[in-house]
Amino acid sequence: MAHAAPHLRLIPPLGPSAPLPESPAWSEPPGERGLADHQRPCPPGPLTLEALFQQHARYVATVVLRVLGRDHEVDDVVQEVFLTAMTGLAAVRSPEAVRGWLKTIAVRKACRHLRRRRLRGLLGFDKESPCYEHLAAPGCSPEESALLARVYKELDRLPVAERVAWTLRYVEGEQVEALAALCGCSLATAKRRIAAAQARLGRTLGHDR
Amino acid sequence: MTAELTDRIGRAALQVEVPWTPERAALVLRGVHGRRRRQRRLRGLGAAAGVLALVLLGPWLVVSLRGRGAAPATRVASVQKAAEPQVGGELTAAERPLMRLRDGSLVRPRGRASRVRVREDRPGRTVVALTGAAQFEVVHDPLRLFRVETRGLAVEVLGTRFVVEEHGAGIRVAVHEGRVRVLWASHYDEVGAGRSAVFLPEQPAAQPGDADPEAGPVASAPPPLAEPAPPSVPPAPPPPLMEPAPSTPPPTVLSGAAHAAAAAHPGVRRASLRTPHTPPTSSTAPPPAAAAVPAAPPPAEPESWQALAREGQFEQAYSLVYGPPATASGAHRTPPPLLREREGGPGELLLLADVARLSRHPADAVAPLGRLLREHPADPRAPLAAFTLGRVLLDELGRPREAAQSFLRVQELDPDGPLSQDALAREVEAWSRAGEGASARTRALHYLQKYPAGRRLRSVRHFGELL
Repeated sequence: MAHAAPHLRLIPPLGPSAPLPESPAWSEPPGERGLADHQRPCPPGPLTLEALFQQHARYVATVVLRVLGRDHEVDDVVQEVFLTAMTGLAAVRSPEAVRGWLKTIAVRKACRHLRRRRLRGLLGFDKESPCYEHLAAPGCSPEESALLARVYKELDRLPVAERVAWTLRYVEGEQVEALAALCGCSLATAKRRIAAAQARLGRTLGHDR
Repeated sequence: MTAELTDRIGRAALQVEVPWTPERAALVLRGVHGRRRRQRRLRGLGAAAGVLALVLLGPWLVVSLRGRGAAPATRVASVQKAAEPQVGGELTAAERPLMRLRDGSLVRPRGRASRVRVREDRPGRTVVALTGAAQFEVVHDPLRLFRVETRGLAVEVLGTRFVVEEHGAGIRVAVHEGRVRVLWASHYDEVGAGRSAVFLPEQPAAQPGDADPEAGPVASAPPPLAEPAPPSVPPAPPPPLMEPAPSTPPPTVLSGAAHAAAAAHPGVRRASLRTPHTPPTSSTAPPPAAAAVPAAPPPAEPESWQALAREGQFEQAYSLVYGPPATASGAHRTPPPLLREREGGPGELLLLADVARLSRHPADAVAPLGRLLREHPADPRAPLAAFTLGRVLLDELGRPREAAQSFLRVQELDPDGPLSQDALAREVEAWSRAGEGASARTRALHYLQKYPAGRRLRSVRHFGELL
C-alpha cells in the first residue's frame, strides 16, 4: 500500500481502539496547569461581573493565551468573554458549571480572533512579526522556550479549526470529547482536525529535530 | 510527530502563563465596564430610533394595512347579508344619508328624492341602480366590478370617488379621485380625476366644462371615443310646438354632438337620433311670429325597439325584438329579423347587443356582436364590438377562452387604439380564468413591455402571476 501510493503517509490511528499519543498525565484540571495554590479560583460567590471576573479572569486569560499565543491580544479577548458572559449569566444555575462555560466562550472568542487575525494578514494589515520566544514563563529552560516558539510559529500556518483543536488537545490537555464540545463540532471532526494538525506539525517539527 | 515530542511540547506548555497582575486585571475589568456602557448606549439609541420610526411611520402603516385589508379578494363587492335592509331596498337620502358597503365603499345619496338600490348580481360584481344623485367612494380593487346604472347610462368604477347626478336632461358624472368608465348605448368613455362630463340620456355625449363647485377647479371631459363631440354644444333646437306645422313627418332633431357624430360616422346616426317628445320650457323661446303659427302635434309614431332602447327601456325593447317569451321560463328563442336577414348597420347591431345585455339576456348579445365583427370588420366600431363581446363572454357568460380571443381581436383590429390597453389586460385575466396560466403570463409580460406604466398593471401582475 505504501509502495503503491508513496505520497500517503501513515498517520497514527485515532479513536478509542488506538488512542492519540497521550498528553502528560496532569494532576490538575485542564486550564489550571501550572497555577500556584494562591492563584486557584476562589469558591463561587454571588454571580456579579466583579465576582465572576475576580474568580475566573486569570483562568480565562491563560486559556486565551494558550490558544492565541500572543500576550498583547489577550486582554481584548478576555473583555469580550466577560461581556458575553454577562448577558447569559442569569441562565447559569450551577456555580460549578461557570468555569466550563467561560472556557467554551473563551475558546470560541479566541477562534473568532484568530480568524480575524488571519483575514488581516491576508489583507496586509497584520504586518507584525510575532515573537514567541517570551511566551514561556521566565523560569523556563531555553530549549523549552525555543520549542514553544517553533510550535506556535507552525501553528500560525495551520487552519484555525485545526490549530485550536490541536492546541486544546496537546497544550491545554483536554480530552477529545470535551474538546469537541468546546469547539462545537462532532467527535469525529475533532479527531480529524487533530490528526490533520498533527500530520502537518510532524512534517515540520519532526524534520527540524 | 512522535509521542516523545508531543510529551515535550505538553511539558513546555505548562510554562505558558499570563503575567496577570492586579493592575492588569483592573484595566481589563474597566474595559469590560466601558464596553458594557457603549453597548447599552447603542441599544438605547437603537430602541429610540425604532420608536421614532414607529411613531413616524405608524399612522401610514395602519392606513396602508387597513386599506389593503379592506378589500380582500374573497370579500370584494359583497354586500353585508345582515345589513340587507340597509343596503338593499329603496332608501331615500333622508332615511339613510350614508351607506357603507362591506368592502368599505361609501354611497351617499344626495337629496330627498334620490334612491339607491345596491345588489350583487354575482360574486365580484356590485351593481348600484341610481335614481337622482349620489356620491360614491369606491375602494379600489382590480378583481371587482363596481357599476352604477342610471337611465340607460352605466358608470363602471376603476377605484375612485365620484358623483353621479341628473343634470337637466342629462346625467352628470364628476370624478374627484381616480377614474371611471361611462358606458351608454354602444359607446363608452372614461372620465379622469378632477374632470366632469354631462351625458345626455338619449344621445349621451360629453359636454365640456360644467365645473363641480365641490370639486374645485374641474376641467372639461374629453369627448366620447366613438363620437367625438364638438368643442362647444350649440343650444338646443326650438321645441317642435313652436315650429310651423309640418307637411311631412316631423323631422328628427340631432343634438350638437349627434350632428358631429353623424358627420364623422354615418353609421352612428340612427343611434344618435333624438326625437324631441318633451317640449322643454326653457328661456330659449322662439320668436313671437313663430308662436302665432298653429302648432300641430307630431303624428304618433309606432314605438320601435330602437326608440325604447334609447329611452333606457331595454326590457321592452328586448320583448319587441325577440317577441314574447316562448317558454314559461321567459326565454325568447326566436332570432330577430335583424339577425335573420342581412339588415341593419353596425350601429343597430351594437344597439341590439346592448338591448340584450342590459335587459339581462347576455347570451343574445353574442350573435349581433359576432355578426358585426364578421360583416363590418373595417368599421371604426368593430374594436368596441369585440371588446364588448369579450366582456360579455368573460363577465356574463363565463366563457373565458372565447373572451380571450375576443380581446385579442380588439388588439388586432386597432393595435394602438384607446381600447387596446384594456383589451390586453382583460385578455390576461381571461386566460388566467380559463386556466391557461402560461398564456396569461406571456400576455402579461407583453403588457408590461408595451405599457410599463399602464393603468392596469396591478390586475395584469395579479392574473399573469408576476407578483
